Amino acid sequence: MAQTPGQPIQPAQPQRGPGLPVPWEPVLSAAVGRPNSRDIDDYISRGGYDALKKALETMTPQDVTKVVADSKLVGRGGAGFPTGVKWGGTARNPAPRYLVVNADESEPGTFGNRYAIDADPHMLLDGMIICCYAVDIQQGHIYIRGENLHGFEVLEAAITQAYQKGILGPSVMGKEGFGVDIYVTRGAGAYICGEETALMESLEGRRAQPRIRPPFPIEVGGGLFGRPTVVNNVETLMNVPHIVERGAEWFAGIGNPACPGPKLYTISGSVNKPGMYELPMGVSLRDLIYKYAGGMQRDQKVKAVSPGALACQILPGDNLDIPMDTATLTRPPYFIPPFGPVGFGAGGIVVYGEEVDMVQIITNIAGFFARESCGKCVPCREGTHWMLDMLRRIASGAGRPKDLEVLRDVATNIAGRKTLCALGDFAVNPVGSGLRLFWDEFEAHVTKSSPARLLEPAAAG
Amino acid sequence: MIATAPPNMVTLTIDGAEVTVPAGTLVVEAAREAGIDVPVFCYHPKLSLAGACRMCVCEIGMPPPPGQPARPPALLTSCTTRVTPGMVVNTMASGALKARESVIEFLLINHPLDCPVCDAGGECPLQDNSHAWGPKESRFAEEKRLARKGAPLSPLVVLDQERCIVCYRCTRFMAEIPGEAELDFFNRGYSSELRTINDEAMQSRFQGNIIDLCPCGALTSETYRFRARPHDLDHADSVCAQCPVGCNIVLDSRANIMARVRPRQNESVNEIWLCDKGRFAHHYVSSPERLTQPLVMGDDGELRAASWPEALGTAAVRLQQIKEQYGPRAIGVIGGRNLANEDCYALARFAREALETPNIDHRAGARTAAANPLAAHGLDAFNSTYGAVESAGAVVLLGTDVYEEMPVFWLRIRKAVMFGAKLIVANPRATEADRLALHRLRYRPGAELSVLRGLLAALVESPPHEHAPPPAEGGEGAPPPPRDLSGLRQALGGVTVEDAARESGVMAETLRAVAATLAGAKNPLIYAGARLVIRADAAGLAAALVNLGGALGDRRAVNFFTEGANGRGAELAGLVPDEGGLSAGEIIAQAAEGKIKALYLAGENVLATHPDAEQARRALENAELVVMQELFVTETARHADIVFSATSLPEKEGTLTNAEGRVQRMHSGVRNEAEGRPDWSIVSELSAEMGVPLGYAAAVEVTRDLLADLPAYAPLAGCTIPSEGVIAREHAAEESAEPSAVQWAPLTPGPSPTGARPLTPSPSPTRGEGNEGAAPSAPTPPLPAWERGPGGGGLILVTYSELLGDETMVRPTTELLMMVPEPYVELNRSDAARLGLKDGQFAEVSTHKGGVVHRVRVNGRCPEGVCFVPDNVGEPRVNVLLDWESPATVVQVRPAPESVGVAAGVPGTAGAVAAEGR
Amino acid sequence: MPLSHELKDRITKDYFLRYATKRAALMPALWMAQQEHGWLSRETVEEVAELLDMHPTDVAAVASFYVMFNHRPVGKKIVEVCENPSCVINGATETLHRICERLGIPAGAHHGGATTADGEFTVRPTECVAACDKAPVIQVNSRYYGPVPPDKVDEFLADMEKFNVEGLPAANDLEGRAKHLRREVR
Ligand SMILES: Cc1cc2nc3c(=O)[nH]c(=O)nc-3n(C[C@H](O)[C@H](O)[C@H](O)COP(=O)(O)O)c2cc1C
Ligand code: SF4
Ligand code: FES
Repeated sequence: MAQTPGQPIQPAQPQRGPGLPVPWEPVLSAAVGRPNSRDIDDYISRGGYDALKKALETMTPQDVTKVVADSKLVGRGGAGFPTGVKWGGTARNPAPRYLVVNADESEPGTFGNRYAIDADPHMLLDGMIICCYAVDIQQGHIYIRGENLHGFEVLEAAITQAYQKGILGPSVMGKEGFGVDIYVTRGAGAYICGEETALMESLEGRRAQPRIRPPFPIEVGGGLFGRPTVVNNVETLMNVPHIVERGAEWFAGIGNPACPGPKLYTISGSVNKPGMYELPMGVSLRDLIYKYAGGMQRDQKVKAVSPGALACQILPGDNLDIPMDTATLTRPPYFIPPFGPVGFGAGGIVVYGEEVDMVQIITNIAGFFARESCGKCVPCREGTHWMLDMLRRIASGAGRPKDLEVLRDVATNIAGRKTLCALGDFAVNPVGSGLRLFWDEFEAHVTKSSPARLLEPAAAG
Repeated sequence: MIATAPPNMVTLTIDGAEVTVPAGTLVVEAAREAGIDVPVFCYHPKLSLAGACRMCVCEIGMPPPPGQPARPPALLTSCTTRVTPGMVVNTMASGALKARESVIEFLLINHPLDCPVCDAGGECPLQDNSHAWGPKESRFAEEKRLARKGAPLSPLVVLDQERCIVCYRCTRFMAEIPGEAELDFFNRGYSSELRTINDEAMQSRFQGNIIDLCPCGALTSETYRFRARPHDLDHADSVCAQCPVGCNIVLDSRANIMARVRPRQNESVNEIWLCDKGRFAHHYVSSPERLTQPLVMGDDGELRAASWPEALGTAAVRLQQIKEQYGPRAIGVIGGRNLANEDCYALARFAREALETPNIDHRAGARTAAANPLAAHGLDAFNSTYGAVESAGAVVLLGTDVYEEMPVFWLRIRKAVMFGAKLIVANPRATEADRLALHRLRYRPGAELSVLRGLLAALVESPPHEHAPPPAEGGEGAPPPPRDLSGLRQALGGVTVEDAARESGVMAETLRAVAATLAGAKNPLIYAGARLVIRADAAGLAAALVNLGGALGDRRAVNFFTEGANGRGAELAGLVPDEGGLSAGEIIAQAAEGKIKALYLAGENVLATHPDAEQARRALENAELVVMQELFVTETARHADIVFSATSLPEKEGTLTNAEGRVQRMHSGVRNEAEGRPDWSIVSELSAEMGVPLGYAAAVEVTRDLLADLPAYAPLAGCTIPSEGVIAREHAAEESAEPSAVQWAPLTPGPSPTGARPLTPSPSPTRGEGNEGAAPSAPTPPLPAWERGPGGGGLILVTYSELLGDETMVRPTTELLMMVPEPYVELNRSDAARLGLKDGQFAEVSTHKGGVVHRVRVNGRCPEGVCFVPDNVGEPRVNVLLDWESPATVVQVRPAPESVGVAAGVPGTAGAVAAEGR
Repeated sequence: MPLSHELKDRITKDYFLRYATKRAALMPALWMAQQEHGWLSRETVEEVAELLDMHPTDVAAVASFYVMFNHRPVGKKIVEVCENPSCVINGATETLHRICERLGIPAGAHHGGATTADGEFTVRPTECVAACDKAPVIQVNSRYYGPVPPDKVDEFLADMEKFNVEGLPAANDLEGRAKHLRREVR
């Protein structure tokens, strides 16, 4: 099923299934598969920009922030920070302020932003302009990963249309004194650019190394060009028009009340129908795999799962009834010292079947973080590579029994917020949890030399 | 920096003890205050915060917000966390200790552990911290990362990438302090590598500082590598003798040989920085070329070694003869700007008391008698402190390439600009400072006076407002009135902005914009280059500058730089022409004519420094007697009859006075083991020989006398000089606050000395008044050739010194010599095209006096019609082209055959090699 | 070869207006420069540096941080195979080996990018391109393509002949976007 180049793959259709908490209708991915869904006229015909109009005509900026806060929307980029609080905090700091959209989505296993932008770029712009109105911002920057060239082009085209329609520009929808400009900047291949302060460094033309906090992005000195800045994920902002239009209560009633709303789940790995599924926050892992993702390839048993893509701790495959959401996976019992929360990240679920050699997979994951560490913090720069070296040796059959203890200790030495950004913790999550869950498999590797089927391509750079 | 205003204080607990520090203090600093040393690598108080190494983590607890439960303390980096009231810091918490131990482990797994052959050994924070905080055993079983070892980053700095701990101190320094981001980390993560683009040599004049900043042995000094162990070194606190900034240094020597120079912290002068000349150019002290004993010209016309009694006796007899035969006015004394205050003072006394001549000067090439042209206005030559620039709202640089002239002071100006000062750079040619300038004024060479008059006229057009008085209780104060500049209008004698624009070549709107910037700035400061002080129109420039200061609210905004390590000291010590005496330039000119019969030169190589080499040569040849005090047998010394072997500044005890007038103590770092004597001692003995004993047996005696005797130092008499030095002022620092009392200096329209057309003021009834006291106007020089349009062919020559020239004191440091640029002539693109010259080709630059052949640099630095040749690189020096009698030098530039060029370009400097990489 | 005037114009007339600092135009400038020349030569870096008032070392150091900037000449088509778990579970490692084999690139040589002798193809692994539902995913000049399990490699290579992605990605296209609408924030 090779597709034609330039023509992006259409995401798998979300399915409606029984057993959902509320009557369910997808909103974020409603346009997926619609012809011309990227076109502004199509978006408007679906009621697009009505929310913006409503906000501009009937609400004060404070009203908008309040409805977003009341909806209990939390960021979809990974950190799960309440969006309304972020906006309110930024608005309290002096102008000029910026909005930065994090479209860097680079974590293996997440691909919701890509398909959402591809299908409905105007929904993002809609959310962005509403945010600008709520926080009194005149300039928004979208930072999109360099690999997503198609998304970049889609956004550029959408922005052009929005200017032509007077939805962007010196007076948005004719509203005097409220102008917004939006620009798109491409990254060029660095996972760390997803981290919000590294992203801003990159946007400012620097090596993308995270900044110290405080000052936080919402504060003077911490944001883009030193100005107070809202950084939000694509999906976070796409929720905003719906909240403004349908109200906070509607949103707060969807899914897990602790972190409500619709969620673009992406699932991949050893499943039959990998894809993007829009479901209420809190759907169970079992439903995701068996109801939506078509079950396991070759009917394998689920061996393990990375619930929020690779940066999270690995979960064993024996409890599939866990709700997949930010609130559940960051609190006890899914807060596991010394590594902290299991984490839900941006909701990219990678499923590993029985056939998968977990030692190899964990080595592969360790390789990703070792290559992607920006190198600013000592524990992350040196530790990720040390772990990788040890794992490679173990995976290739040259491990010694005492390596496992050293590996575990090195992992603890990186973990626990000892680094500037969370990448250090991310790198440790799969290794630490993997060791705990698959100690026997690791032990087997270091006691009898196991056949080396290296899944990870040779030397990392 | 310590805030001066009474700050908010914050009280917190560190390791059980209560500490009170200013709000905003970093925890690591607060701990230091409390005597607790938290280990750091990346943290450095002079650099931006990085938070990279994670070594400084401490357990930090915050008091809970009211009504909320306490949260457990967290591990935070103390170098990025600021104190808050009630904060509880535990620097020795077990979690913090484990984290630190792991940081050391991570740093050492890929470290080569080659401490036995590392220069940092013994003074290495990595070594010390590993010892104190690191794990006691090693468990790393993987292969170490291999990287470049012993890789030169330049002729001066060597990188060992394997030792690098990626703390970003060096890269932050380069980007933040001199603003030259020519060194950075390439790649990322585990593969991060310190590099320059294409591994080209670093060009910065401040790169030596990264050696000090490096917390391990990754960056070492090419000149110090493998020369000594820190515990073998002897140390002496001294002051740098390479330029007028007066940076504080430590002289490290091993077995009485200079091993290295390190900066010594003085927040008022150099903070903790040095330029590379000051740091590396010390090998001359122990050079085998040094003069080891006096020389006397034999009957055969050759210099031969002589004993001190013989040399002193001969000199005394012959000086006496000349004095008696031709009168004391036939003797000229030049020197002192590179000598200590003690030497200057003794020399001045000797000249006045024993030689009895009024012809004394320390300013090579000077054309005017007034050493400080601001004295006529009741001001010192420098009226602020270096530190004052940090609170200036605007900074004017006139006729100076401050990067080359006052390098470490440039760092402070740069800091001021980073703090928000508006920088205005006025120069005939673009300089490094232009990069940061808000306004760049490119005026015709020599037209400084026109520029100043333009600014004054623009200020008269729209005067700045008086500083607002403090508003009355409860009410809005009335807006301050515009300053009354009617007196200045009169002094200007009707010159308009447009007149000045025409004369200077700077556009009128630029002059007006600069005036507006200055009028709107708080505490503007004006710095004028040292070369302006010795020009024929120095008095006029000084008057215009004083008026500018006055118009902006404070005449003391005006500051002149000075030349030499102790130019200011020489000036204050009295090495200046007496009433009716000749300036240094006139002394040489008159000697060339045979009117001056004896030249007494103290550390002044006039053949290289007088702006007319041919005239200087004639002076040396025609003088009946040339006596010198020198370190080396310079080209000038070869013409001398008697050469006394002197000691160098690093060998001396005494004091120096820097450009801002700060007197600082220096101690001798090495002993002169040959028969060199301090200059004060030489003149003192010579004076005694001549029957006028000065009576000095030790430097301290001279210091005591000079402090008591010289007006500038009078308040210091009997005191010890504090370690940060003390500012000496000749003139009362009080400035009348009453604006109406501002004295407007009369401005004299006249020709600018280097060929810009004379100012022709529009006729004005008040003109006569402004002309009071005007000197008879000099004959108008002919319109320079370049103004005659293309086809005239000539270009106006501008020269200035590079910080690093192939000078006597630089040459023995071969590594530094490689940083000296190959001699060059800089041309504008259109002139180069017109002359058929390309970048990198050789060109002959000539006048009726002579010619030099240099490689051409084509760039946008010189405006059309102007070319630039540095005056302290290459053989022969560009002063062979200059004519002291005519102030403007119009040169012919034409392509030179390659063979000539190669022959002329290579010798003297290894710059040719370094320049390849440019 | 120097950068085109159009490119420089675009940076100074458009990109400088977008950002509060000049150097913020660096990422777009590097992209456009790479689009013109295929890679970032010393000369190109210097030109970009001059345009943005930066030191060439500064520019080169930033460029070296990002793996999509080429520091040496590359093939006309850059074929990248994802090497992260979702793709590897579905056979990406073998796909990569087979592509190298078919194109005549020695096994193992692809790391850091290996280019075929005719300069047509550069093959290298890449991190996840965010299309894991099409694992194993391949990207050709930043257009993704998949799934390409090992047994589909020949089909993919045949298909690639038809790829219309000539040259490198187009830079930001502003055609039709009203320039006068853009304003400076400060
Ligand atoms: C190493 C790292 C990578 C990240 N990658 C992304 C990403 O690709 N996309 C994203 O939206 N957020 C990412 N984040 C989270 C952002 O830092 C930030 O929290 C988020 O963009 C905020 O937006 P939100 O509040 O809308 O979630 C990453 C964080 C870290 C530490
Ligand atoms: S944790 Fe790693 S990626 Fe994050 S700032 Fe530190 S070194 Fe860079
Ligand atoms: S000294 Fe604090 S992180 Fe380096």
